[in-house]
Amino acid sequence: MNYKVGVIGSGSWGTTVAQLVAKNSYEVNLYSRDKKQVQIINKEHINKKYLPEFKLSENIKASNSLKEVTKNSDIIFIAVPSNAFRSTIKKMSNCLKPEQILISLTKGIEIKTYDVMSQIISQESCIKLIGVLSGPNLAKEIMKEQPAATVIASKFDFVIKTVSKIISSDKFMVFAQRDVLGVEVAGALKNVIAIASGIGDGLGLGINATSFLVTLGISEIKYLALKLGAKPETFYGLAGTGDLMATSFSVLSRNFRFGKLIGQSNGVEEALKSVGQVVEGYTTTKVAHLFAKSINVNMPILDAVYRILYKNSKVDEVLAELLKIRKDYLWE
Amino acid sequence: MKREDIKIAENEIVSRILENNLKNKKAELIDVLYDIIYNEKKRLKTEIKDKTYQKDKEFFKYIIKKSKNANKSVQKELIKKVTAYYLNEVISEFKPFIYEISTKILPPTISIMLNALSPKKIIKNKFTPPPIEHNVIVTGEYKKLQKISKKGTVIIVPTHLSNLDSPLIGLMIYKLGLDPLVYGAGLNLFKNKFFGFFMSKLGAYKVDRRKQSILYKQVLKEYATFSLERGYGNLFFPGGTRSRSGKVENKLKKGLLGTGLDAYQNNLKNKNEKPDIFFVPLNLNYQVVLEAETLIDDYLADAGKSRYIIDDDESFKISKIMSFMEKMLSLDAKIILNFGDAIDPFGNKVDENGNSIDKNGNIIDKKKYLYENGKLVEDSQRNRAYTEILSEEILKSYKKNNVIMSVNFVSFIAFKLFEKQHESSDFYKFIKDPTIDLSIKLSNFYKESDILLKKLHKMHKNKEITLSEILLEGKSEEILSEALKFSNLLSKNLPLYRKGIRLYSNNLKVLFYYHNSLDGYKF
Repeated sequence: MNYKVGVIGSGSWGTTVAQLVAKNSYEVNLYSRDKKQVQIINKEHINKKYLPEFKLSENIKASNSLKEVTKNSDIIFIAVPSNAFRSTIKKMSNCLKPEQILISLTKGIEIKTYDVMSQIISQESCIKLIGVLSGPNLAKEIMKEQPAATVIASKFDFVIKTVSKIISSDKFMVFAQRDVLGVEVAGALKNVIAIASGIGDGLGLGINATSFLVTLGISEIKYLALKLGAKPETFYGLAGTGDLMATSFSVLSRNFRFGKLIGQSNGVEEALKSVGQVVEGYTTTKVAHLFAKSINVNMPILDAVYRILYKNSKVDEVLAELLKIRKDYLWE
Repeated sequence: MKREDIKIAENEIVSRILENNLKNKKAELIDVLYDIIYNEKKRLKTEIKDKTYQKDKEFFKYIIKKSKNANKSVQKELIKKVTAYYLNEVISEFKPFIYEISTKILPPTISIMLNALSPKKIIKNKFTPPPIEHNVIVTGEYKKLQKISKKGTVIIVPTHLSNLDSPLIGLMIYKLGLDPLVYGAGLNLFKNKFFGFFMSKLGAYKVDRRKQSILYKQVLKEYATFSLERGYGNLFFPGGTRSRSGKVENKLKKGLLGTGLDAYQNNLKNKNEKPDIFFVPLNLNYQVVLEAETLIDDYLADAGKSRYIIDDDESFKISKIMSFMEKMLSLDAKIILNFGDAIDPFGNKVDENGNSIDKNGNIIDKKKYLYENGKLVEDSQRNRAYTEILSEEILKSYKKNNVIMSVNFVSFIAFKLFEKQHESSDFYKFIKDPTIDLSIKLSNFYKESDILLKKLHKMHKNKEITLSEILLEGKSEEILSEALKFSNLLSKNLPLYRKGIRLYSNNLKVLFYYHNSLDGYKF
C-alpha cells in the first residue's frame, strides 16, 4: 500500500527521517512551525537552518498546518522536543484516528511525571499503534548516506513491519524490539552521559579519564533505567549502548558538543545557545537527578553533571572531587 | 446458557477449535494430541479414584490407542472427540426459572441467602436480619453499567478475595436489574454444597484447574467467546485466583481477557447487530475476609509448599460461613462493591451510550483498530497487544477504586510500627515467630495514623485511592475503635487489641494480610 507519511518537527532528525522515507518513494508531509522554513523547503528543497548542505527529496512537502499533516497521514513520526511533546499531541489529538500509526523520534523523559513519549501519546490520544525509533543515528551521517542501523520498538508486529518497510534501505538497517519503554529510557538517559563525556573532552582530560567517566555513568543510568522499567538486554542493544557510543564520542552529537563547550569553560546558557538546537540531555539531567533522589540512590556522575548544569558549580571543582586520587583502591 | 444456545454452542465450538488448530503453524494436530495425552496421564495419576476418574481413564485410554499411527483425518476426529468431551463437562445449563426463584428468595439478606439451602432453618431460627443494602454497599459507576448493558455485552472483571465473591456479585447483578452473568467457577466449588447450589443456578460453568492441556484451555476460552457473541454478560476474575496476600491484583491473566476482543471481532465479521463488548472493573472490599487466615498462611508458606488450589478453607464449611455471616451482620461489617468506569477491549473509556471516547470526549470509531488498509483483518499478535493495553487499564482502575476500610488502615499502621521495632530480624522469621514481643504505644499509633490519614485524604481527592466513609470523616480514635471491634472476627488469635495505653498483637500474619490492601501505593 502507498502509505501517506507525516513528520511533525523539522529539526535535523525529523528532516532526516523524512528524507529516509521520501527516498523510498513515499510522499512525506513535513510539519514546521516556521512559515519561512516551509517556503524554503518547498521551493529550494533544502533545510537551511539545520541541514543546509543537503538536498532534500522532492517527495517531501513542507506544511505549516499541524492539523492537515495529522489528518492526512497514515503514519506519523514525531520529532519535537520532549518538553513540547505533550502539548503537541494534545493539539493533534482531535484529528487522530484509531487506524493511524504514531512513531516517536524524541528521546526524553517528562519532568514530574517520569513519563516517556510513548506513554504521553497513549495518555493524550486514542492512538494504540505506537512505536519508537531509536539508535546510534547521527543525522548528518545518515544524510550523507553512510550506513547505519536503528531500532524500531513497538508492542505491535504490524507497526514494526510497516515502519521497517517504509524506512529501511540498503544503507539503513532496522532491528525490531518489543521493549518500548526500555528503548525510550535508555535513549533518554544516555544523553546525560554524553554531556559528561563532552565535559571531559572539553577539559582535555584525555581518553582514559573520559572512558572512566562514561563507564561509571553507564552503570548509574543502567540502574535508573531498570528502575524505570527497562529490560537489561535492551540496555545493551543498539538503542542503549549503541546510541551511547555514538553520542559520547562524536562532535556530531549535540549533547556531547554541549558538554564540550562547558568543559571549555563556557556558561550553560552560552553553550545552549551555541549548539543552537534542543539539547535533550540538559532537561534529562534534571529529570534523572530528581528520580534518583526520589528513590534514594546516590549517583556521583549524574550528580556532578547536575551540579554543573543547574547549581553553578565550577567544573574543575566538581571534577576534582569526582576523580580524587585515592591512596588505596576501590572495588569495581 | 439457554438450552437453544447450548445446542449451537456444541457444534460451533467443536468446529472452531479444530479450525484454529489447523491454522496454527506452530503446532501440528498430533502435537495437540500428544499434549492432551501427556497432561491427562499426569493428572489422572494424582486423581481421587471415583466415578469420574473411571470414566476419564477409559476415555483417554481410547484416545491414546487411536492416536498411535493416526493419519490426519483420524487426528481430526480425535481432536473433535476430546473437545466435545471437555465441553460436556464445562457447559452447564442455565435455567432461567430456577434463577428467578433463587434470587427472589435470597434477598433481602445474605443470611436468608444462606438459609435458602434449607428453608426449614429460616422458620426455626426466626432470625430477621437487617436488609442486605445495609451491609453490602454497591457504589461507583454502577449506573453506567446498567445503561451500557443495554447497548452491548458486558464483562465484569472483579478483584478476587473470597469464595463469597461470585455469589455476592451474582446477587448484586440481579438487584441492579441486569441479566445473569456467565462465569467459570472452579470444579472444587461445585463439589461444595453451598456454592454448588448457587453456581449452577447463577450461570456458572465448570473449570477444572487441574486440567492443563492446551486444548482444555482453548475450550474454556472458546466457550466464553461464544457466550459473549450470543449476548451473555460474563464474569471473569482476571487475577486467576483469590489474592493470597490480600494485595490488590498487580498482574492479570491475558488469555481469558482476550476473549472479549475475539468476540468483538467475530461480531463485526458476522455483522452482529450489537457487536460491542464492554469491560467493567469491580473492586470487592470486605471489612473482614472469611478465608483470610488460610490464604495468608498459604502465601507465607515456604516456597513450593503453597497450593494453587485450596479446597479446605473456611469457605468450604457451611457452618463456618453461617456463623461468620451472622457475626458480620451483628457487628455491622460492610462489604463494598465499587464499580469502576467501563472500558472497551482496547482500553478506551466508554460513555453512557456505549461509545468509546478519547480524553477530549471525542467518539472513537473503535472497529478501525482492527482494520488494515481499510478492511477488517484478523491478527492474533495485534489482538494480544491490545489486550495487554486493556489489562493495564484494568489494573489502574483496581488501584484507584480500591476501598480502604478501617481494618486495612489500622492494620497497615500497626504492622509498620511492629516491623520497625524488629527491623533487624529476617522478615519471614519475624512474621512467623509466635514468641516475638509485639506491643506499641497508643500515642505512637495515633501520631502515625494522623500523618497517613492526611496523605490518604489527598490521594482520595486525586482519585488515586478510595476511602470508606469512616476514613473520610472519622478521627484516628474512631477509626481505631471501629477496627478493634472486628478484631475477634478476624481470627481467634487477636491480630490487634488494646490494653491500657498500648496496642498488642497475637497474630501478625492476619495483621499483615489486612495491611497488604495498602501495599503498592506511594506515600
